[in-house]
Amino acid sequence: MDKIANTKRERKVFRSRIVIASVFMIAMALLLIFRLFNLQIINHDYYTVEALGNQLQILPIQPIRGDILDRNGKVLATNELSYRLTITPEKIDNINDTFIELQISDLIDEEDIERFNKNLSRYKKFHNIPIKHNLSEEIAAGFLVENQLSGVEIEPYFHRVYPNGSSSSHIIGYVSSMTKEDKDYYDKNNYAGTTFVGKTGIEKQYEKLLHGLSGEKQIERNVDGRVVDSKVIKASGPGQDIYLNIDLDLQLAAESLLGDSRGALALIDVNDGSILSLVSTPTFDPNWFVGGISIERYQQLKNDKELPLFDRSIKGLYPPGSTIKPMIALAGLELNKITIKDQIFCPGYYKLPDYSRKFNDWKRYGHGNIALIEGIAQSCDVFFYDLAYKLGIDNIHDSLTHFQFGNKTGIDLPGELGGILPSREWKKINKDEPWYRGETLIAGIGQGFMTASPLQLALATAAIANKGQLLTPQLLMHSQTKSGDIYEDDKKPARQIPIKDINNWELIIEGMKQVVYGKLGTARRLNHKLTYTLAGKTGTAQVFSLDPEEEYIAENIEEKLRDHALFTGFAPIEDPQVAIAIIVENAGSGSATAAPLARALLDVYFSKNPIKENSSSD
Amino acid sequence: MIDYFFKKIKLFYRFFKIDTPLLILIALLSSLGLMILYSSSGGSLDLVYRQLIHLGLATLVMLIVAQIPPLFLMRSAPILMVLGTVLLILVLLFGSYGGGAQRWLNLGLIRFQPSELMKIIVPIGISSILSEGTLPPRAFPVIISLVGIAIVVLLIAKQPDLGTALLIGASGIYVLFFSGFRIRLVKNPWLNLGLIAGILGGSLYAVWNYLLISYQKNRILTLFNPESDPLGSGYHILQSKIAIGSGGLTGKGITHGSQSRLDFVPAQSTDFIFSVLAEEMGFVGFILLLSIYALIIYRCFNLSLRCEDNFSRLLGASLTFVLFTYVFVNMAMVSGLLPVVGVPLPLISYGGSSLMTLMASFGIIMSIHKHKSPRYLQ
Repeated sequence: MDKIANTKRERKVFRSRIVIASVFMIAMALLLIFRLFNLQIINHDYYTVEALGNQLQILPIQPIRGDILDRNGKVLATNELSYRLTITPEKIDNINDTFIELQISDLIDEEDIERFNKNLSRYKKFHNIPIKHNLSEEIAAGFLVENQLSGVEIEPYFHRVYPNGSSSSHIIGYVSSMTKEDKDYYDKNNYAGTTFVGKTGIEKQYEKLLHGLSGEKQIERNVDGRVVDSKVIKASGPGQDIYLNIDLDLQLAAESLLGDSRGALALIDVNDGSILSLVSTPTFDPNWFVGGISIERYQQLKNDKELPLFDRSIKGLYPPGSTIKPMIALAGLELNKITIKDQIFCPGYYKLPDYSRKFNDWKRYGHGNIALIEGIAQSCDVFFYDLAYKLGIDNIHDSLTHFQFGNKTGIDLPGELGGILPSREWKKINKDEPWYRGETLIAGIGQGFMTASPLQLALATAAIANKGQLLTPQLLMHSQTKSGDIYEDDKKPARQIPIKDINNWELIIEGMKQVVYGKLGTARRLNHKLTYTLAGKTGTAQVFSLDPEEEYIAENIEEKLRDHALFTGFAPIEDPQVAIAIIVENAGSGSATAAPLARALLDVYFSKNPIKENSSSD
Repeated sequence: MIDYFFKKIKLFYRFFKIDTPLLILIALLSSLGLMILYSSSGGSLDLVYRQLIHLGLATLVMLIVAQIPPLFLMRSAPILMVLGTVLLILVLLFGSYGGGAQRWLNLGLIRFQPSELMKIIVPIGISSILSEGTLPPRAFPVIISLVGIAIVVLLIAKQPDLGTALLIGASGIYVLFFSGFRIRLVKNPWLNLGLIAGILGGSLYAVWNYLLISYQKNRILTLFNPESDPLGSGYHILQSKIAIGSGGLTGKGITHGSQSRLDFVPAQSTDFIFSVLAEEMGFVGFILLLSIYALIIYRCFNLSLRCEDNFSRLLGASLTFVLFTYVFVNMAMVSGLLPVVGVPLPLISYGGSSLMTLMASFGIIMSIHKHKSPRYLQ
């Protein structure tokens, strides 16, 4: 009885609790219904707009990069329509599976994946991130037919192309994928859609002109994420074309003249500093870098003992050797340490009065009695040891400073090096030693601590040719918009090298003329059948090292210890147009190797630019 | 002829202790779930096939559990409680990590979450303790129950899996609630209510300051203002709300939900699948879903009410209320009413292990109804 009563009570209590629970559940369900009603019915319009906003996306339009052309309009760098493979990680469940699929179909390799992963953080969500550039039309079409992978797409783009391959590559430079540092450096908005950016050479120097202005477009996606509508909000402004002063024909001629040897040359207009030719050999093909160079190939280029990536023309620092002698002579004349008539006797060596060491002349038995003009023409070392001793290092330093030695020339290329013009102060700071007299003698023939780049030598030679105008070398001729507007770059004013007697220029030019035309001139072989007049100076530089930074480990000691061959010169003598400086590493004497190459290039130049007959002389 | 056929089926169902209306409702809900899953997985049948296999296995589990007499469950409750607790301790000692928490126990071939098992074991255990004597229970079994619940909750919260810990704790409390237990601290019912509220508030404060880890706090905090940090932790709730809101009255149509197809909604096949349904089927779809759940809950309560013994009633009602809790918490979380706690939507969300426990619960409910209670228990 008790038990039955209990059971009844229990049942009643349970039933009441079920009722309470049901009421609670209904209340909670009403809360949910109210919430959903609020979201789906009352605020439906608001959320519809929000959802649409998710489907609409503002994307940047990448401007077309400007071309790079030579002075005659020959194309050095341009863009070609190509295809690239892109991946949108957000649309892929397992990206590693996708990588494997793509690897199986031979579209990408491990390095592409590595590069892709490195770049990943630079992109916003739901962006197509390129993984492989420069696919041929056949591969792209084949992929589009067979593509089963979601989130993987082919998209057209403009690929940077250097039609002349490895020619002029140090000047032009190359573009390559932007790194994180590049992203930080360039304007975020303008580079939002940009993949490639100039890394070296002109491509880097004039990046801002070449790049242009980024535009904006709005795209609308359907529920499958496919773009159904796209409209341009702001058109992009294409980059400007860059016209360079260089002449591609001269570049090709110079490169074939230098051939397999390591060397550099600079040919500049003595009237305005335009660079007509600037070559460093060996070269590399900038096209390798555009789509991402393979690690193997990059290591190979980097570790190549010939240093193909190294621009010798503006970064290669060599002892100028005897090419410095006309400028030392000028200093002697200017400071009245010597006159045109003063002779000294050259026995084949020079000795300081209280110094045991003999300083040898390149000519073992000497030049005999010799004065300034012949001293330059025959490149008599003893004459210049004596002159240097009379001048002293301070005078040498001050005089050569006017020719911009020891300083950068200011060429419009990144990474130029200024070389060394030694002085007492320099030696104290860098070597922590006092200056020795012997070093002054060595400096007088352009050896020892002094180094200069081929471009610096060409610039100094041009300053002699135009009698004291020190110019700023310039690669840019002008830039031109796609609509044809031309922007000339302001010519940097020339600096006048101070001089007391204007006639002194004529004297050293006469010396340089005798190098080519004199009976004993070191480059007398050049005057054979010369169609223009040429003044110059040979040089043979003893090898110390190419550059203190570079490890010049000579496996082939024999060759690497050979002297560098140099030649500087200008033509025509009466009305100078161009100045040239050339260096061939480890090629022996300047007169035998460098001078003929310089003449060959000048021949090409003057056959393209014949000297105009002076009407008044008729 | 047809009559004869139906009779045969009826007999078959009776023999296997199957409740036909409940089975039909479950099948209906699962079909709806598969349809939404097909859409949410971007029109791929892959997940649908896998979920079908899960459903098959879970139905098998349900059938097996339905054959177990409630008396057997009641008798083995203490062993189950001890076993479950030991497993939870093992998880903390040797468990493997997944998603920042140590939830999985690796048993060579299979990996499983003991906390999933506890969703059933706790209601069985507490029901068993409380139905030893008459109802409403006396103080002693209540205290034993509370201590048991506390141990389990703390062990799971330590993994850390706060959402599951709270839900399992709630399942134990539900049993207490259905047993008719009431807290009477003072005679005045209003003062009584006030005191209980105060104690609850105090313990919430303690939980917030001493038990919660920063990511759990963040999840709760972003709930209050998801718009303030659109790409941070509130981003998911915001996108989910956009999906639901843009669905409107009738929805965008199956496989036409732009929010979920463009992957703005997170975990759109598992915890957030409700937002896909709401976007594609609209308010009408939501009401339909809610109605099916209501019918299931109604049927389960009904079955529990018809039971003759306390253990079956308590177990059936509490398991049903747990089911409701999951439905409510999931929908409230996806629509931004509650923090994101990682609770699946029963029978709709993709996933195997939670489906197994859910179907096992249905098996228990079928079992308590179809098995005749022994006389002495009635």
